[in-house]
Order: sequence, then structure tokens, then C-alpha cells
Amino acid sequence: MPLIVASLIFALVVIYPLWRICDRAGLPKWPAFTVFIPIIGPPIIAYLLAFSRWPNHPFGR
Amino acid sequence: MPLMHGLINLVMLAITIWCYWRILVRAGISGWWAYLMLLSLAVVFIDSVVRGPLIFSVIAPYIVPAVLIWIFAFRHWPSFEADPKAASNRRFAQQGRDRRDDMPSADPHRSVNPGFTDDDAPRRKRRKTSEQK
Repeated sequence: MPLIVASLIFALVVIYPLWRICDRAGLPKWPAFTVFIPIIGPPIIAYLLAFSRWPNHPFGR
Repeated sequence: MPLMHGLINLVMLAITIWCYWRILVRAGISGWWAYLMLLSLAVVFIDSVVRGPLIFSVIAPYIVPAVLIWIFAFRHWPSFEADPKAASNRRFAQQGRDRRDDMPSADPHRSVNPGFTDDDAPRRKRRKTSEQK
């Protein structure tokens, strides 16, 4: 139970910057909400940002 | 069981650092900053030594990633300021010249080590004059 509460607090703290990162990268913003899934949410959003193509990237990466 | 839990946490940390490395490199920032995630281990260790309140013990591993995510979201991303049409060695030209690109002799503001002596200079001069003869 404390772990889930901590995950939720973390999600509330980082949801706005994650939203902004997705926006700057040109990705859809809904993946930012995966951070609300306890324990596996943060690795999922990190994986998505690391391995998906960023439409706004000048070199198309 | 605690050992297993610790190992799983370390594997998760390694995967997270790998992902953060890739994200930082895409943004044009050095991937080595991803290793700041290791500070989480230090925070957790300090908490285990100090034995703070339970809520802090649970939140401790999340503090460093949260700070890093906030910094990353609001700092500038050099890759996004580059010119993709320019040659690879001129892509960041619009950000201004980097003094490190100048030859030392071309930059009057570069500080020169006064203790430096070119021991090979007299030999080169002698060789040059002998070649001219």
C-alpha cells in the first residue's frame, strides 16, 4: 500500500514535465499518463520516449 | 527475499539509465547525465542509515528521477536548435561560434600557459634553415 501511494505521489509530481516532454518531442501526450500505473508505469514511459521516433526531431530520429 | 528485491531494483535502475541515456542523446545532451540516477541509491542508503519516517523511505527512490525529469523538461535541447540542412560540422552554427573551434593563435582572449615552452622549436628552426641551404 505505501508503495502505491508513493507511486501516485511521484506520478502527480512528474505528470506535467512528462506531458511537456511528449509535447516538445512531437509525440501524443496520452502516454504521459502511463506514469500513473504503479511500479511499471515510469519504465513504460521511459521506454516509449527512448525508442519511439520523435516527429519534432530535426534529424527525424 | 530482500536480496532478490534489491537485485530486481538494480536491474530496473540499469534499464532506466539506458532509456534515459537514449532520451538525453536524442535531445542533444550528453548521455552521461543519466548516471545521476545512481544518486537514488545514495538517497536510499542515507535513508536506511538515518531511519527516517516511513513515508520518506517509500518516496526516497523517486526523488532524484523526479528532479531530473523536471530539469530535462524545461532546459533547452541542443538537437532541436540544430540546422538539419547544414553540413554535419556546421549544424550548430546558428548558436554562435564555439571558441573551442578556434586555433589558439586566432583567439586573442584565450589564456595561454605562460610556463609552456616549445622545446622542439629550435630544432625545427635549424632543420628548416638547413633545408633552405
